[in-house]
Amino acid sequence: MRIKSIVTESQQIQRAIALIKLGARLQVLESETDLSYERLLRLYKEVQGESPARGMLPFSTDWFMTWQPNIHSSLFLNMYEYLDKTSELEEIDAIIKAYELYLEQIRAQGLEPLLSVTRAWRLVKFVDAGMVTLTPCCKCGGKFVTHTFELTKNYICGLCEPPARAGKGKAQIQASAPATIQ
Amino acid sequence: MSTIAASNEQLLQEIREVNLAYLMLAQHMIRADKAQALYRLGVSEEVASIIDQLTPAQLMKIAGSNQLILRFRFDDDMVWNLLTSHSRTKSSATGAAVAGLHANIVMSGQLVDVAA
Repeated sequence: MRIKSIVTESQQIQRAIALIKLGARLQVLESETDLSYERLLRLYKEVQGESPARGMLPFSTDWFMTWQPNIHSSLFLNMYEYLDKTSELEEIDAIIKAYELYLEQIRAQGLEPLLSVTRAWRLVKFVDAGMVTLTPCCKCGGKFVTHTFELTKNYICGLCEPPARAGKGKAQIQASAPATIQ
Repeated sequence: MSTIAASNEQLLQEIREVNLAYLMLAQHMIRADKAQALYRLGVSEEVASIIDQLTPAQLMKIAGSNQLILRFRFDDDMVWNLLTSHSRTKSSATGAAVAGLHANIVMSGQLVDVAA
């Protein structure tokens, strides 16, 4: 696709660089910029120093519902919704900024980020498509990621009432998860 | 009598310093990245624009008051309990961290409600 304006093109390259630095997959870049696949590939190699990962993107909403990923996803989505409501940002810029805030917060708590930027982007697309939404917990009032058409009248979040085995074997999960969630 | 006046003077001095530090930090954050600053500060876009425009002389003038210009952005037991987290955590480091995340989620959810 040809981009007419050089200014627009430079903005898109900046955006692509920001996404690559956060670890985004090539499919995200293809979807969010008008840059050609060849240029994105070159840009990716230049920024990361290696070829992008191959294969399909994660496509299931179920990952976002499991206990620990749900906490991370909910934190990110709350941040994203705030930025989206208060600022006139393009969606992808709001995702980048919210993801940066998420990483900051997770590291401040001494945790490993479970949510990759690709998954974060996917989550926002799932919200746009009406497949998942934020539901307030009736105990703490915090909003958590749930399927859209679940019965949510007396929804209690996984933090107010953690499932029986929540956090068991967390050491293994945390050690292996960051490498596998690209 | 003079010691009371002196300690009072010191109190005012400290309030001015906190005010000034806050305003300068806020201005710096807003100029660096306005959208993220709105989230961090929890202020409206109008207020952020005003702070952005302030001159150093205006900053000094606003800071020199006997009142603090910032206040707590949450006032419910829920968030306080989560932040101090004595209640549920099982003395593990990750438990405390998860309670911290819980507080973040509740707080940012409230922010969205205020902003909406």
